[in-house]
Amino acid sequence: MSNEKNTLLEVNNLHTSFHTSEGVVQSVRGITFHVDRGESLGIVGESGCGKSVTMLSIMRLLDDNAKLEADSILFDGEDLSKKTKKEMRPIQGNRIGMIFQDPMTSLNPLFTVGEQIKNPLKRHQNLSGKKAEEKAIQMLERVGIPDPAKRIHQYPHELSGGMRQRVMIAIAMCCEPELLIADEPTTALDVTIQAQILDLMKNLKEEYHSSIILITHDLGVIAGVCSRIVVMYGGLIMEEGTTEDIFYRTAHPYTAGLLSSIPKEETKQKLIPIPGTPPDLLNPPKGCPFAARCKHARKLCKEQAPGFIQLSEEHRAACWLLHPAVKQKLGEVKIR
Amino acid sequence: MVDAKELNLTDLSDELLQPLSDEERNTEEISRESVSYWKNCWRRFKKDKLAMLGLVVLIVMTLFAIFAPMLSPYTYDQTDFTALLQWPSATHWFGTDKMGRDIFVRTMYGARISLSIGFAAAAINMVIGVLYGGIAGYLGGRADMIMMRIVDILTGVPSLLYIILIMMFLGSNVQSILIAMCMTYWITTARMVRSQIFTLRNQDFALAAKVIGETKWQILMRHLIPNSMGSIIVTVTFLIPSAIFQEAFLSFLGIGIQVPMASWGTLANDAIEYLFTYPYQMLFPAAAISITIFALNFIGDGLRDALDPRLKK
Amino acid sequence: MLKYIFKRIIAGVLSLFVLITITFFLMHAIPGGPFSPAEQRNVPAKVLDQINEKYGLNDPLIVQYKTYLTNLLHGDLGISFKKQDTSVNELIANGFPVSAKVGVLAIILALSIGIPLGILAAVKRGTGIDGFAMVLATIGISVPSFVICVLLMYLFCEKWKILPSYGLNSWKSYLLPVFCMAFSPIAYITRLMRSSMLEVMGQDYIRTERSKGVPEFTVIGKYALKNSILPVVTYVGPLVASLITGTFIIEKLFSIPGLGRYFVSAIADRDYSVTLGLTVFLGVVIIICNLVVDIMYVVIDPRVKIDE
Repeated sequence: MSNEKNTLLEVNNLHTSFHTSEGVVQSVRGITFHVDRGESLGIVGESGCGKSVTMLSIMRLLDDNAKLEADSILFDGEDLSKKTKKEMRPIQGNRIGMIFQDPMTSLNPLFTVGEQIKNPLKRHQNLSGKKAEEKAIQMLERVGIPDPAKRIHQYPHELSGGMRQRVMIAIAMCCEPELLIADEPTTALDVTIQAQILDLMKNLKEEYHSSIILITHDLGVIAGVCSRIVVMYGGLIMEEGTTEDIFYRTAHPYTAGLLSSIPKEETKQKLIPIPGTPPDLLNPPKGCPFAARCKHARKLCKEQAPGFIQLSEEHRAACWLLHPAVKQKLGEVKIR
Repeated sequence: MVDAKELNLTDLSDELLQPLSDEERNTEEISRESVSYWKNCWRRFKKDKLAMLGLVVLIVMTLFAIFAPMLSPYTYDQTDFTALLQWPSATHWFGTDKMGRDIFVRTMYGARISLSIGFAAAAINMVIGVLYGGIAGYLGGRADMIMMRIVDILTGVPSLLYIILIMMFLGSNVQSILIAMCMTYWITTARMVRSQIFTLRNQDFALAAKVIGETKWQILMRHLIPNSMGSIIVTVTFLIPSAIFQEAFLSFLGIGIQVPMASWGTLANDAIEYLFTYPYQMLFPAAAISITIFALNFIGDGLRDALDPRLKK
Repeated sequence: MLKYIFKRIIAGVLSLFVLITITFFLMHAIPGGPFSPAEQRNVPAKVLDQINEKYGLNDPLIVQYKTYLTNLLHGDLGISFKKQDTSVNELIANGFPVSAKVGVLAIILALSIGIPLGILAAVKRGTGIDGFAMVLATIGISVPSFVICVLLMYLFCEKWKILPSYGLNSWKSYLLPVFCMAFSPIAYITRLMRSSMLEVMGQDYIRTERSKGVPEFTVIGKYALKNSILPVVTYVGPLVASLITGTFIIEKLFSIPGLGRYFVSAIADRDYSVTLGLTVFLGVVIIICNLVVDIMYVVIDPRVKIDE
């Protein structure tokens, strides 16, 4: 366990489900992780694995049909899961900033860029209109938008996708939050812009001593930014460890599958996709969620969900193949 | 941190460590039956209690409209001078009017006329509207502009003018009311379809159809219109009540269906002069119109939510 | 902007011209004339001919059409054929203020109930409040205006005798007509507002607003409202035009001396000049209202380009 004083966010046994006309969708089914101060944590997984829902749960931005249950979500010692929506407001946009996936739809088309940056500044930092405007211009300049004094009076549709994502970052970072949650911040952008945006986030993080949670389905994006990685699948955590652990000491077959589906230029290796589709979270499987797609799956995997096996202080994975009793019988199974 | 769940090692038989066969993998994946779009819509529609109530009311009303006039001892135009202006009773359920005609039969007969006008007008206008809007939307550019300006002007012509003109030439009957309504009623549908086609025609599936060499007409009929079917059905469902409304309004003004024929509007118009003395005469036709339109609107709302679940979540 | 308005006015005048032409010939196509024998049985044929001559009705249609257009260009809408010595201009000058007063009040009432109720229903989606508002709104669009008029008249004027049933002599006499007029617009606005608010509330930018810690009241009342008001603006434009020029049924039932009453009777009486004059007037009002709506669109939504 990490040093208490250093932990900024600690999520304990989070469950989030949605009531829909089809039934109850269990998007997140009991996950536990933490983020240290100044750390960058990456959360990886395919679409629908519960990454975004986890972040919305932490921010308490879920829709009304969602149900959140958690032992606790401790942010700097305060339990966010017990707070009312009103009590969350001094935290939202102030101590935790959030960037969303699609900059095209995440900015209100009918308000100027300036209005949208100024509003958290006025609210959380009690700045006057004029002061807020100055700070907003500063912030736009900081995120690399040319001619910010002019841009501040423009509307989102007058900016390019990359520009808009910079504006989103300016909004999320303007109150110097302790934690920045970035939900697929580069997915909707051109590859050339992606690197710039990631660099910008890294620099701002250093400047403000913030922590980052970076959500993505792209392991390549995470490798450059994050020191630790959580791999999610079917609403559960599959593997967690430092970036080196995940890339070089891969323990879970799902992580291995993700890694072999990243294109690598130098080796010209053939890409190996993971067959099948993620499980239906309306009726989640009782065993390991990945069993149906895992080429190493045993009958046991379908019967019972595996618990975590601690591989080192920072590295753990939920797979039967790692269990001592199974290992005893089958020996070391090579998963890559 | 989190402990591994302790597995009882005696349970760990070799059987459990057998690799999963393909069949065993697949059992999970068929857990949710795949249902067709329309079946799914019907399932959602059935869950909407108000919409189902509306459907039941409409069916009951239709059955009454068909059978009540047949089964009643009175006919809609049968006068009885020994029973003028009677309050509702066991013999005359809804009372009688100034000519001694049975208001129950007249109201049910009115249902026939009003409902058939509503459905017929909606059907005709759907066809015209979908074609006009679809063509304007698909052609776009100059053709679209001209077609839309024509529509704008048509909406400007006072509807009473041509309705009266048509009534003059063709007489005040159901057909002329239908024709009069077909003059402009399709405009709403046409505008809606046009804007739908506008957004759809640049979407990938339409472009894909273009790439494989389908003609404009094929793309319109096979891809664009079927894809806007949901919105079309909803618009048309709301056309039915507005046609019934319009007929009632015309007949209420005295330029629609003529006495002794009966539509709900005619009955309401008849009742006006006795409003303060025999208010029941107004009550029944007014209630019949309101309940029917109420039911149709609930069905329309239910259909909209069922066909386009995004709006409801 | 000015150029755009100028262009729109030109286009408006053009469509007005087409409208007048269609109406003129339609009007004359209806069998019978203002002084046709069927209506004036006791007038000798010779006198009738003289009257027709006086009003120019014996001229070929195309000449009548030309005369009408020339007069129109001078702002003269002609003289009523039925009401002796009353010009159509006077008719409008007298009737329009009355209709407009009732109409404007009805619009204010409809907006001030419909918008908040629609927002409330959307925010409280799926609750009792939403259900109540929706049932109310569905009643509003399901009950024909003459039914609600007649019902309220019966209750308030006959049964309880607390409100006058005709004229516009005191503030009390405004209550019923204004309410009856606003009745179905309230329902439409509530429904429009609710559905467009629901759609906007599901948008990403609203989630962004919330993620900034903006209170829900501001999120809805400021940010979501601006995005969701456009469909209501579109609906209200033509509505304003039709309400301020008077509603036939309401003016007839409550004996209000407004414009709406003349319209139907003028058509029925073949009062050519009044029919045409009112059509022209209504057309102008509609064109102005649509122009105002389009300008409001540009003001509200910066993405709308005016030169399109």
